[in-house]
Amino acid sequence: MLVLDHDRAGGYWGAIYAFSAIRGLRVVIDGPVGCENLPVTAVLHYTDALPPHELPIVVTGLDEESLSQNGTEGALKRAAATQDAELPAVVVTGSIAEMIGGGVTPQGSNLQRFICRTIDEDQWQAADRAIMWLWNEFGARGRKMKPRTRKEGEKPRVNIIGPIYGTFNMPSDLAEIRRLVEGIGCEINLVFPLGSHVEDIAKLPDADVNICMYREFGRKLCEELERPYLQAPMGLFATTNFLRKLGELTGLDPEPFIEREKHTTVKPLWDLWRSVTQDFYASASYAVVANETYTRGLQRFLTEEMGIPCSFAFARKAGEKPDNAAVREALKKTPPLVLFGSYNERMYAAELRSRAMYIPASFPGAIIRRATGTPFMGYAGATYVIQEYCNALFDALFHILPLGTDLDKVDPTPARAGEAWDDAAVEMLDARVENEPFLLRISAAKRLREQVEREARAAQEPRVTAERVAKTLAMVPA
Amino acid sequence: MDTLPPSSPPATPEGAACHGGRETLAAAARAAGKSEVMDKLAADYPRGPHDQPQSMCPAFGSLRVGLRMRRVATILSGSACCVYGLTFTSHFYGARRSVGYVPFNSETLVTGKLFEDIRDAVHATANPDEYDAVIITNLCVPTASGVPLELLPKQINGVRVIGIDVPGFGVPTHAEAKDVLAGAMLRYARTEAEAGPVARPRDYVMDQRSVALVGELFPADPPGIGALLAPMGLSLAPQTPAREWRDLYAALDSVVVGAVHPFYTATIREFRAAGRPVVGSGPVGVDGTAAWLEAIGAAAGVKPSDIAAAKTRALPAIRGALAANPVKARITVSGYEGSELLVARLLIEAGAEVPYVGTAAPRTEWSETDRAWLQDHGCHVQYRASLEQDIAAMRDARPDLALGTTPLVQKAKELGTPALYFTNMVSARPLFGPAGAASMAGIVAAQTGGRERFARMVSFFEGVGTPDGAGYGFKEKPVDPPGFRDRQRKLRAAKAKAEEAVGS
Repeated sequence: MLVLDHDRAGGYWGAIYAFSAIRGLRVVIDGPVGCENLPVTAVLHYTDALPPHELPIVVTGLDEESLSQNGTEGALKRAAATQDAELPAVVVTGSIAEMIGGGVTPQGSNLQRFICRTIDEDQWQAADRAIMWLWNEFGARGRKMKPRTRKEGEKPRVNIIGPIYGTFNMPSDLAEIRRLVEGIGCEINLVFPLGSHVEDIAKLPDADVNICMYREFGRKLCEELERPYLQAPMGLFATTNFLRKLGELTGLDPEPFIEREKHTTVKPLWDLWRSVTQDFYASASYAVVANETYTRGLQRFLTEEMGIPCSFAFARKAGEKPDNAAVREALKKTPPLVLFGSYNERMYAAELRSRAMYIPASFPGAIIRRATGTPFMGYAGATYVIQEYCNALFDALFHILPLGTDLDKVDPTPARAGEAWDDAAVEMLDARVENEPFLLRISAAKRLREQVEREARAAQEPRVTAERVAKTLAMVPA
Repeated sequence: MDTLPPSSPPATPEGAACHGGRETLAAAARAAGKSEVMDKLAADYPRGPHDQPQSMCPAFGSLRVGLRMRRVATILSGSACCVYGLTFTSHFYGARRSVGYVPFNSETLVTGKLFEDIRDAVHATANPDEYDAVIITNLCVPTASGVPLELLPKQINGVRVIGIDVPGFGVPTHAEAKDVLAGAMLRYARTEAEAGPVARPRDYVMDQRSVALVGELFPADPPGIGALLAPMGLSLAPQTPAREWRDLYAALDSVVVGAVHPFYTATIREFRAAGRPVVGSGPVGVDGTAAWLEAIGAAAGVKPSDIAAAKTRALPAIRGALAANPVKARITVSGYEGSELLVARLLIEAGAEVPYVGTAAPRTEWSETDRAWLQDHGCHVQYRASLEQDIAAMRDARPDLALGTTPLVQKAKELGTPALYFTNMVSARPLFGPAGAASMAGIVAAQTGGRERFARMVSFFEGVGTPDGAGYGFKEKPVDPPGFRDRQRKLRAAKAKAEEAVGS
């Protein structure tokens, strides 16, 4: 099997991104220096804007001796000792440490081991288990889940499950989901794991409903918590359904909020729908290559709800290797006008000199999305996505329209009347043109006439005379 | 700078013996009544999580070299983590080119199916209409599992197949990984050239005596160096790492090799096998350029009068450029590109005070003249520098500007010290001849001039970020729940006690 431009990492990246999202927990990577450098120092900077040593993550820096003689226990002990020893820690293994059976935690330490299965699972599968593991180790601790009974007068509480580092556009989507949940009158219990403290984990059951942000990870925990859970919505009607369902589950009336949103957040959708720009929806196609959450969400919104044709869609699914050769082929065969995708699709489009307008919708690719104004989910997401689609159409026009300064690069046509020629002058020019090879006569005639007229004008002569023609022709080699 | 860590001897064996030695010596020092000194040192210069030099994942180095070459395809064999991260960073820093990946799982790894998959992938990729060579790289796990790339055919339909092992645990830095691939390609090209006629290099001039430079140079540098060499009747051969396969033949055809970057051990081995003399250092600043022209001239058998002519032409211009672009600042330099010593020399000649240079590269004979010159100018040179050594030097020297790696830059900026990432800001400028002499002043002035801005940011963001408020995603100021640490301490003690009970 040959995969091109692989689009997601292996297991331990997902584990690191989930574990380091929890406050009060530190992470020790058992592996060579590159096992820290790639996921944390390098990539997490280009995706999440974090400086290299911001998060409490260290690496053992395995070398050949660790592999062949010493094992990694001593290295683990040393690396862990450089961190705040009072905090609980989790050890994750890069692929080479996994292969040699590394990650064995020193006795008597507060290091706990998570089995990443980095060789066999991808980052989303491992993230799903890592989120679950946090609950098992720091929340459940073997206890059984109790049914939730809400106190008198208490607002319904909701967990948002799934946000971890290294997730495309997460801050914006999270902010929007939070806004929707609070908008109908619920309270956020926990956003998990991102930003929760390790001691908060036990509070996960204090919610009436869970919201699963992504299809790639977080669902295992949602299943485990024995509360109803909803998938975070993308699209206008999908979001409305989501709010009504959430209202039903919590006993709240979502309609006043939905009514308010129609006049505010999603009004641009209605404005654009009634405009002539909507005319293009039925013919200006888009394509999407993104994780399954986004691919399904965009298809549902753009095609089902807005009626925009989809020229192709590929979903990056957890546990499945991508077929980027097929993506490349699809771009060639059915080029879209608007391309939602990652660096890879952008590169393939560039190879084809494609005019498709690119809208970032997925990793891989260096793109920071910490500002919260670019949601794809919820009402605000529907507005943002349709706005960007329309802007892409406008932008396409920008590239299609001719550039004036290019248009202007032709021979001048002066406002003055054409030069008046003496008959003798015309005869002399004709004689000269007769000498040119037949095929070149038209262009020679034009070239010579313009040259004579230019010089006549320069000399401020009112008419083109035979004398002027003779002078000019003398300068031009026959 | 006597408080700085001592420079390590060349080729120190790492690992068990080294650690054991360190601990034994430390115990001996304590026994000899030096406990206080040892405590002070340990407090001032804490040991880091490991003793490895700073580096990107080493495989990035070789990957980038292949991706930057024309008509060369690259395939990685490794775990998805490595492949994803390397593809991501090389698409950012290398080239807009597809990277192939042969996946494996624990089953195909042990059954040998992985090798078959690699062979199939190489055959599928080796299309002579598109490529001159296919590079297949074993990363950590396939290397440690012994996936036998040497069993692949040497060429398929005229497309060369080059298999290399670049394990992150074995190649110390990404700089040296560049050498792994450059050396392997040069070796292949050398055997081709030895076997018979090869394709004519582009712009090849018969009987032109040329100098082949080794190291990834800023694009404007080679023409400048060519101008320095012209009075000696020498021209510049294509540099290594090469940009096209046939460039390798032209490089091998040189009369002398300039190991500008000092860590290309395998590459130099091939040049030597081809009978080419090798000269270290580079034409940097006045002293460096004079010495380099002399060494190159001598190695190439140039007449002394022509060497003198080259110097007469080059040195006044460099002197003038340095005088016109003085650097008045104290600067620490650290990096993992391998050109750190040369940069420090240039800064010192431009008037800067450079008390410390840390490089991830090892000590080799090719940087020896630079090391000696720097030492004579009061600069401590740390080979195989770890992050902790670089940070300690930076704290100690309190520079006006710290040139360094990304974590060092972060540390400096948190302290309000202006800093620049060596790889992005210094490597992206000419270094040699008059152009190099003129290039440093601008960036130093621009960044040190912002010191007040740095201080204002530090005072505004005091207490934000590491260590307790690391990361993002908070709704409010992140504070530990009251009593958190006490509870953790108790939990830990209880756990230790339980384990003890089991043990007894």
